[in-house]
Amino acid sequence: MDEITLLAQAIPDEPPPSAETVARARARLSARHRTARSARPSPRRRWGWTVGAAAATAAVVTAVAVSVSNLTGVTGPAPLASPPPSPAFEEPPHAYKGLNLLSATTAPRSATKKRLRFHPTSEDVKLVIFCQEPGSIFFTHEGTSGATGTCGPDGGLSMLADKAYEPGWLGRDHQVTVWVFPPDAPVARVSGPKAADRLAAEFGERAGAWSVAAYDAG
Amino acid sequence: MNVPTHQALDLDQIFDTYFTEIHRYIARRLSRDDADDLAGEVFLIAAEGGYEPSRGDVKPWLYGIATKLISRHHRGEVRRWRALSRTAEREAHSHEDTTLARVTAGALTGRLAGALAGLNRGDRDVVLLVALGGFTHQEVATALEIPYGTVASRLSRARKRLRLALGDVNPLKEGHDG
Repeated sequence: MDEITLLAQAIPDEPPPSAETVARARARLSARHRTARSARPSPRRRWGWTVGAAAATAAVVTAVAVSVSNLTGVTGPAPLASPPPSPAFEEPPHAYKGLNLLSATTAPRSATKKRLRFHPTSEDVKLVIFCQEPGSIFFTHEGTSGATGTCGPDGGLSMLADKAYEPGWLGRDHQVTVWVFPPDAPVARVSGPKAADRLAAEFGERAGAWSVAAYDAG
Repeated sequence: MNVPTHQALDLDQIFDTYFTEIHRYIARRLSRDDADDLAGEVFLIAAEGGYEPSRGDVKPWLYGIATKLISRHHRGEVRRWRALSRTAEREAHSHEDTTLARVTAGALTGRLAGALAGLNRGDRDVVLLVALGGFTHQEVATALEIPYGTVASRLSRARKRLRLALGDVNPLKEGHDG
């Protein structure tokens, strides 16, 4: 054993960072990433302007056509394109990684809770929390089980769904309570539903819509 | 984790792979509180770019960023090693059920921490990257952006200081190497 090995052993070790520290660092990184992306100039800026101008022109033409048709009683032209889909934190998608939507609920603000009822029929169950604010932290609870995790617009998975592999979990109704907190919330303190309610009350509602959805392969 | 030259850096994957490790490295050199702040900073700096795949793995690069951040807390680190030196030596001699192993382990930690406090910053960075990060000379050179020969000379100097500090506490004689 040489000095270097001895040194490595002699320096006191440290435990891994708390989930709260990891979530906060991840949120900061996501926020930086988002800012950098939005600040990056588009290589097709000129085309963008041209296309934008064309779209604006088309919108004016459509508006004039609608106005005229309203005056003359003629049915207006059909919309040029369907509206863009709502983000998942406002309306969870009907399918998630090949699984079908069982049930979903949404909340317009963070530091709030919602209950989700569903009846799974296959072991391949996923409980997905979609959050407007990247790095948001969720706590899911049912009965005596709880699970925390982080979520963003692409969704975060709750480990509670892993209980689908336990005997007796499938084929019955479930009611999961979900809390979502902002990225800076000290969720490490949350050990159960009462603590989650207390933390939500301390924080007060914050900006940040979210949704939770249950999917399965049934 | 090897990052091929033709791929863009996947920061999320890098974060998932290395955050805990980088946090631990900083916590062992400074403190857990400092690590809570600085580990995230490492990845923010990494997100700004600067990684050159031709120079090797991404891990030494991240450790290099962490080491540079730690150097801003140079005085705090020296205070930590001095404090550890004092407490480890004191504990080694304060237990009623003192065993030879406890005395030796405490004395080792105390003396090595004292030696670390006495090293210059560059030598300490090199020896701790090797000891805590498990890096080769070449990887340390990449991490700190210094020549290979400089790593070798700094490590040699640090080893001498550590050996000197160990003095008569020879772990081989005390049967500590398993």
